[in-house]
Amino acid sequence: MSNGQSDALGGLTDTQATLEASRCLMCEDPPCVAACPARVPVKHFIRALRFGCPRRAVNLIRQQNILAGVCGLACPVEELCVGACTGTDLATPVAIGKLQHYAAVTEIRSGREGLAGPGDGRRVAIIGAGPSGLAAAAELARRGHLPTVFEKDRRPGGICTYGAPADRVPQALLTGEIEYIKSLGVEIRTASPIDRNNTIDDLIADGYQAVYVGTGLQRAATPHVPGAELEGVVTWRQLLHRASAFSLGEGDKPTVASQVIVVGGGGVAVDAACTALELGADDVDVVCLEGPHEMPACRDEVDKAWQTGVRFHTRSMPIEVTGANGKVTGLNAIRIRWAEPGRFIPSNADPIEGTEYWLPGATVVFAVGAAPATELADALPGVDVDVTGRIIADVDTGATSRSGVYAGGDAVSGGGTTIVKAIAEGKRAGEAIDAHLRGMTG
Amino acid sequence: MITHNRDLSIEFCSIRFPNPFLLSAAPPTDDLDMVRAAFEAGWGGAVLKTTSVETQPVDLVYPMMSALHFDGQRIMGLGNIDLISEHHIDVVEARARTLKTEYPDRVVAVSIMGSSKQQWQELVRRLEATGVDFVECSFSCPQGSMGEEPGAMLAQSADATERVAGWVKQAAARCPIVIKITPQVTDVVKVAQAVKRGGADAICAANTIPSLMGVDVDTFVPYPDVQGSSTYSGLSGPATKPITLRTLAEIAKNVDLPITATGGPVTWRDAVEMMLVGAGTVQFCTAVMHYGLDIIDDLQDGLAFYLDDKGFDRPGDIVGRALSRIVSHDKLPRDAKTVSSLIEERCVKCDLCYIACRDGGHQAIKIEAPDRLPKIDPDRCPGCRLCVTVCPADALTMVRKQETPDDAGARTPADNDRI
Ligand SMILES: Cc1cc2nc3c(=O)[nH]c(=O)nc-3n(C[C@H](O)[C@H](O)[C@H](O)COP(=O)(O)OP(=O)(O)OC[C@H]3O[C@@H](n4cnc5c(N)ncnc54)[C@H](O)[C@@H]3O)c2cc1C
Ligand SMILES: Cc1cc2nc3c(=O)[nH]c(=O)nc-3n(C[C@H](O)[C@H](O)[C@H](O)COP(=O)(O)O)c2cc1C
Ligand code: SF4
Repeated sequence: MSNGQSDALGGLTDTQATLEASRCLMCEDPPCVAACPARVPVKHFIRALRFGCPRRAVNLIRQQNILAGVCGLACPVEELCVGACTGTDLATPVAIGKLQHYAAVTEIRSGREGLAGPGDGRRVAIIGAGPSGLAAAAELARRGHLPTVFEKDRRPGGICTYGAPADRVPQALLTGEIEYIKSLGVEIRTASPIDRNNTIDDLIADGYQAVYVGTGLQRAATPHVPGAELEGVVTWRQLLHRASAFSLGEGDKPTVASQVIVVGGGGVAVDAACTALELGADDVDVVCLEGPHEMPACRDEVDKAWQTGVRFHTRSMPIEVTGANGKVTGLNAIRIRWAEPGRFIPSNADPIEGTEYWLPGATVVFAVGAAPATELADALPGVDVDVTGRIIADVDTGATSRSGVYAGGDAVSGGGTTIVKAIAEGKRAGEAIDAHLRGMTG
Repeated sequence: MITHNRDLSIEFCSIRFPNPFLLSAAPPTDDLDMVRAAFEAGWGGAVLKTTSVETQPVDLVYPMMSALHFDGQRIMGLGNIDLISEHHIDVVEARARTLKTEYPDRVVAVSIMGSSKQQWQELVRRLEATGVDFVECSFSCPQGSMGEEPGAMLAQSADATERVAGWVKQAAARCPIVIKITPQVTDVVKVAQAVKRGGADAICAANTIPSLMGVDVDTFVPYPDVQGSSTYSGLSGPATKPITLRTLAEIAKNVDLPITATGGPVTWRDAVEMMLVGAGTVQFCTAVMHYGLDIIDDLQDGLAFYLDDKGFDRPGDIVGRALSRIVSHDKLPRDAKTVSSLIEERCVKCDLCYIACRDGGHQAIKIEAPDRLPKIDPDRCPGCRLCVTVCPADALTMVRKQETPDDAGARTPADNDRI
């Protein structure tokens, strides 16, 4: 029966969705839409649900956001659409994310496929099958082109597959949405890296008329503290990539010590802390510069981590990873105050003398940012990157320094953003590539 | 924005409609720019608000709207004490011409009301010259009529209906003539037959329903309060849909005339229901006044996907499909017995079914410790279905006696009543 949703896709029941949708005020020029990086037409998709047409609802969402269901679950909605809901002033905001997820899974359950758009079918290479690459590919397919996505990993999805916790982005849902993208006419080639032996010059020689680079961040940052080279120090990428791979049946279970220390205050640090607990750690301590209300991690996620037993040491700075016999034994840290209020960056942190403390732990996870792979530049001749390796691209179109090559997502922003933003950038670049191809003769 | 790519065109009275949805004669069609906006939004047609000859005084009163809200939901029904348009035929003629020039692919119609044979005929002739696609005659304005007896609506008299329809038809050289009737009669079939005898081409069923919208219990003034006085309103909106459906069905089953439906539709499903009981096209008013013109996108997508799912080629293929299922009460089958049955995993244990069955049914439901789930006694349950209608969780369904909900699920997937 369709109402008691017990399959892997989960979500609201029909009855719950009907009740929730009925609370939408359906205002003109809705603030929720303005707050969505992908400009999902929230009012109109909720009205479509409310007026009995889930297929229209999902069509409307997918026009703007091709990973409708994933984002319904994984977007920090309190900071985006839900945070802007007019209904907040009347009672409580509408659960927009849950309704978006509901619309998406209703459609996935139907098994209906998409249609490639009419067009003259130019071949476009997409590098990276993360959210931004998939969004660019879907947009191009809808506009009648023939996108091929080259992905170095064994599965598409980028961070959604290898990184984000499985309970936030269920694989069944992601797979369902990727199947739909394929049905639009997108070809995805996995285990196909673009590198110095197979560069974008080769792609263009093969007949691809434009390229989109959505390669994300492959190189996790390690702070310059003594002891960072000790055995037992890992980056968030190593930990989370392996944990995801393990849960997908690829590779061994990553081992963590019974006491784990995570350095970082963003969502990635919190995910790493929770993952460490799931992998068997007894104690997890998070050390971060920011105070409890300054952490960039989403409030809900911090609360959830705290409830599962993660301890937070806020307004603290790591000084040294301590070790014995080449192996990690713990972390020395010190409390800080902000030299100038409101600027939460390391160079503004002022250590408070005499407040050093030591935490024991045989695994230290650094979750303090990431950058694109250094080798990436070799694969992208003619494409300018900045000192950290980020690709320099136009904010509106994604155009890079090389004509016909576009980029977006984390590879350009440098991270700290959201899936939906990467999707919005991929889609906009898809539009720009289409315009570029139409402008070309022959 | 629409998300389908299907042809939704339909023929009605030999007129091609790009889709079966049009705006009815009401405030949304009483202004040239509003109708332009409607056509830009995608409406298939519009009936311009009822107009009259230049000498006809139209004395409007404000405020004119009040609404029936129910249990936290706004506008179950809308009441109005509006009259016909303040814009007379000279203005409306020009609008019709402009619209027909600017939007040749849309259906432009005008609603008229006269108070003599001469007026009715003059209105029709002048409008025909503008190129309108059809003329709709309001025989049913509840706020004062120009019929025979003052205060009564023309369409409340079969004789008057036949006579005036005849006058109008006589004056029309080319245009199909549609007569808009009222549901407020003892036998709507008699009126529809009179429309047919008068020679009109189609019937518009039905107009608003004469109502008293409510009474302010502090001031004793009913709604709407016009400086301490009030009057009866015409009720429109979702609350009137069942009355419209019945009116449509009665006419469609008994009189061979195309019908354009009005009264209560909001969603594509409402419109499809109206078509299933015989409407060829569906007119909208209150829904647009409440939610805005762009609901046309919802209507078009909804109809297109419905036709896809059901495997119908064209909207016209569904017209009248439910009619043969409507029989008189004595012809209803009485052999197979159904009883209420619980889908356990959906139940939220609110006890509403228990209360309803205890105080309005047959005491067939018991709530017992330890699980507190409702237990339905199939021997006490005659299958009245009250409990299904009250359940907020869609957790009850009717099954043949001895069946489980799962068997029934396979048979009638969406049996649960969301009304
Ligand atoms: C742990 C973690 C949790 C997160 N949780 C959330 C969340 O809950 N909600 C949210 O909105 N955002 C979240 N984010 C942020 C979000 O995941 C990213 O912003 C988003 O995935 C960026 O998309 P992208 O396509 O730019 O890059 P990625 O998702 O990183 O995808 C890049 C893809 O390119 C491939 N690739 C790289 N180099 C090559 C190459 N040379 N050749 C071929 N393929 C290549 C990679 O294998 C990868 O598949 C999280 C991020 C992390 C790290
Ligand atoms: C404010 C208002 C004014 C109306 N004026 C007219 C009119 O001038 N002529 C007419 O034929 N019907 C008129 N109607 C009736 C509508 O055209 C329509 O038939 C009725 O509202 C029922 O449809 P609905 O439930 O979609 O609103 C009016 C309705 C409203 C609410
Ligand atoms: S709806 Fe518009 S015209 Fe009517 S009372 Fe309100 S503001 Fe005035």
